[in-house]
Amino acid sequence: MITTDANFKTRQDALARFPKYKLLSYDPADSWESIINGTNAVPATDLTPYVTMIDYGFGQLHIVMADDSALSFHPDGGALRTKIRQGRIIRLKEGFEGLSEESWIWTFSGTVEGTYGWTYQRSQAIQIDFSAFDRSNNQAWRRRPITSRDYTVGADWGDMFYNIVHDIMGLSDTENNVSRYWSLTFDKNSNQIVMLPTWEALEGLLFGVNARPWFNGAGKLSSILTTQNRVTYTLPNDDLIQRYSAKAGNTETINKIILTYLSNQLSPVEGGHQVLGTAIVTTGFFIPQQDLDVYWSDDRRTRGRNTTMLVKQSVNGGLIPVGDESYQEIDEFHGRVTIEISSWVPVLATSLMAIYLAAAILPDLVVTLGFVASGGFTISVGRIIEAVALLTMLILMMSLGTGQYEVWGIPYEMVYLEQQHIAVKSGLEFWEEREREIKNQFVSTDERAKILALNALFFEAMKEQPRTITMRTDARLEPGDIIQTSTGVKFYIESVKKSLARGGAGPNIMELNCYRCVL
Amino acid sequence: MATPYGPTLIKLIDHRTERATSDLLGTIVTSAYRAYDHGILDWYWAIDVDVVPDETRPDTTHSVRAIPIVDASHEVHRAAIGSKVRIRKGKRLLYEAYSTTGFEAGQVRVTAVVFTDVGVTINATATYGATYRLLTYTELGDSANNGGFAYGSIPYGAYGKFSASGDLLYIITNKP
Repeated sequence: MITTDANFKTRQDALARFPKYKLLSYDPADSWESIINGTNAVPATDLTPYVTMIDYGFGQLHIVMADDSALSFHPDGGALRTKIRQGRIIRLKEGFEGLSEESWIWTFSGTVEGTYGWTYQRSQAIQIDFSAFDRSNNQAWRRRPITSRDYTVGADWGDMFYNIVHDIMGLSDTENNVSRYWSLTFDKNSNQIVMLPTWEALEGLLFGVNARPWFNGAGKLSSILTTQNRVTYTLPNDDLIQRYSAKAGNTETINKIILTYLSNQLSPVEGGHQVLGTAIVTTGFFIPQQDLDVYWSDDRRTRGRNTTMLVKQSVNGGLIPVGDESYQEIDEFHGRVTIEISSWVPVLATSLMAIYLAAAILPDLVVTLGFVASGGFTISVGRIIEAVALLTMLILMMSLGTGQYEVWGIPYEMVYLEQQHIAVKSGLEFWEEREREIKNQFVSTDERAKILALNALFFEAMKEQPRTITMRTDARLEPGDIIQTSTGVKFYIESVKKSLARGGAGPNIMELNCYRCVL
Repeated sequence: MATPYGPTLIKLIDHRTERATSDLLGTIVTSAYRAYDHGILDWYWAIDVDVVPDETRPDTTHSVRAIPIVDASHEVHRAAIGSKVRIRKGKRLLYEAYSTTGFEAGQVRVTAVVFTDVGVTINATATYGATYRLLTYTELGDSANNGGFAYGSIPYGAYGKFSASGDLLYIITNKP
């Protein structure tokens, strides 16, 4: 509901009153900010004298005008033809006769879309028609994907909203009516809008506070609440209503809301049973114990559980067993393969070397032939002992070899899982369900998701009860307002329709497209 | 190629088509296996996915067979049975099929609402959705019931699909 000063309110409530309006055209060379502030350099052109009829609808104006005898709007040379060409900023101001224009309120601000129609036919009035759409109709905002800044735990959703509005859409603080402080904080490490059209980003953020974005009558970005447990305006008198109708129509409305959100709790996601790591080792004589740390990934970040070792090739694969191999899971990131060489191996090797050395100094026995020692054989006693020691050492060496191990297990990753909360109308067979899926990754708890999903369901359920109310004009009412009659029935205003007639005389009645609230 | 005249009609239609590609939520019920496609005359990696049309009724079983895996990170190849996957109607494949894309959560919470003339009644939130896990030795059987053998006819390694309340819905054996 548009806030007004007391003078406006007095006029609005008065029995006798004469609504007036003004339709102004601004040069787009002036910024929206300066136009909203009233500091525009190029003065606005008043189109009101030409207007024969204005259809005021949700976010759009359809304007029909009549040209004057000078053919001011002639498309090929009229003096005023540039005043309604594409891109011109059109604003509608409503008030009352006798009320100072400072107290009037802006009920529409938008831009002219497309070229205007101009028809001359002899002996008939020259008719001009064109349409203006509100600022949300900007196709760049509707379509072009954007990426916001990254916000971390504790940052307010409003900060991200402000970042998009201020830095990406380029709206100044004058053009933005949405508060920066929502008391709703992010609770995941990294929160960012990535490649989403601007308008969808705004919708996604405002969804978190049960609202949706809208450019209001003054051309400022604001939010419309989608909740129903509130009353914006209680009608002072039910007699203001002239016509009330419930439309015949289908009831094929959405009756199931699936809200997919991203949990802020890390959950393990398991992979299949597989090789997590391998270890290869060549053992030596004098290394009594070797520890091999096996990580499940090079970056040491992959987690695994239920790990076991598979010996592909044992250090005992040689002729005689020389050691023990064991495996221990250290933590979720790595395990340890331990190879212990039996203590007798180095002892034996050392003693064999001693024997080999000792045997080297054993003298050979000499076998002589005949009486004179002229020749003969030596018997290499020491060499035989040397050879035995050497062979044993060689066998030991051959036995000590290369071990090859695999560690098997179930890898898992800690991820934020997508969760769903479903709000559904009770007692439906599944073929009767008409669902709408909403995704919002900033929502992270089930409590919040439940509130949002239920509100979305209530909003859809409300659409089963469309009502059209024709009542005495109240320019202050906006879409998203909830009006209440004396009987306590509440209506959510979806859009306002009114017809503004010739010469600046405002409408006495307006039509509200409403839904009867379910709460 | 950018046109100076803004989006063309074809681009708009493309945009609509992209929006219309539907995602489905499913659960992997086999490990990755090779399947042959006569359309592309080649082998491809595939899995079967249990697609539950309605999350509030997990008892129904609808397995989609031989879904090609389109996953460069190989997460799906390595994924265990019971992992949730999102499958998407493919555009680049030569035929229309679903491909696996990533991980999803298993269970959903459902709040039913009774609408009356005077207001609404919000029922208590219920948890639906199945979980998948290996059947334990105890569940597979004991020697008393299996003629002296330790286990029954179901091999160890079989998975079970369990309801949110822990009841066994059915058994999945890992055979494509």
